[in-house]
Amino acid sequence: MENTTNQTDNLFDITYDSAAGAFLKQAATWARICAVIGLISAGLSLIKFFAGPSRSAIAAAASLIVSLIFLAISVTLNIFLLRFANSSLTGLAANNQERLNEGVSNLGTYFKIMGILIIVAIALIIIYFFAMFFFLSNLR
Amino acid sequence: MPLTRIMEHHSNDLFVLEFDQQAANHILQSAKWSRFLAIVWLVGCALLIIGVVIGLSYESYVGQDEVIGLVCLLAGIAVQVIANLFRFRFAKRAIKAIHDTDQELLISSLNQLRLFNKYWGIVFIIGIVILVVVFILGALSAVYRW
Repeated sequence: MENTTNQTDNLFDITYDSAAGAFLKQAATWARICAVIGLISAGLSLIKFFAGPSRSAIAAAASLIVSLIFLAISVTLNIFLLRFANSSLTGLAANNQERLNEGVSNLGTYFKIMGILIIVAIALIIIYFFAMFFFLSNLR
Repeated sequence: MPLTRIMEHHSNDLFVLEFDQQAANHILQSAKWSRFLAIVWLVGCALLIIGVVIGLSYESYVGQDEVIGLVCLLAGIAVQVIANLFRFRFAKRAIKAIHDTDQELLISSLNQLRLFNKYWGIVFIIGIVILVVVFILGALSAVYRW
């Protein structure tokens, strides 16, 4: 009975043990490499910031805030990428459907966060151009 | 390994994990955001190239520093364009595969996702190697100057 339910849930005639599984496994392995490199470089950039040349208090505070924002974004993104990799690889290795779905869900969240950040960046660029336009038009 | 060979290689495996509705929804969400990201990046790269061409048309003299900067910028654009082509192919194929319930297209889309991640992995590794080489060269030049 349970098998029948599972078969009707399956949208395709494929399983993750087929070619799809092989591709997903490799995608997850490379994603893990990317995430680990990203997390290490985030850590190194923090060390570089504190080991860098001394600046005035205001410049240092402003620089620290900007650095922390970028660091938080980088760490969050790479954690989702790492979770995708780890959950997918565990799910594929242990034939655990829930873990695998969790992994793919993390990939979705990873791309979603990137998409939202791009929207925010575009909005900030548009605001900047409008502000510059009004500033320059008021100067004349 | 070519796609057909991988498919043949795995065709005799036991079917345990299935591609259910939940997984399809997650892949669809990933693909939609990926498509958006790829389009934004590709448009951004195209705008950058247009900006560079317009900028160069106003320059009467281009120095060595500008040439190095231009080469680095174009290399960065090329890296992003290739990556986003992989991402766009993954997104396009995954969305179509889930809408049409097309098995081969879904496998092909996952292959593109694999290529996208592999590409970035290799780019990061090359970046680290370049950084290490630059660091060693810097250290060596400092030692010899000393």
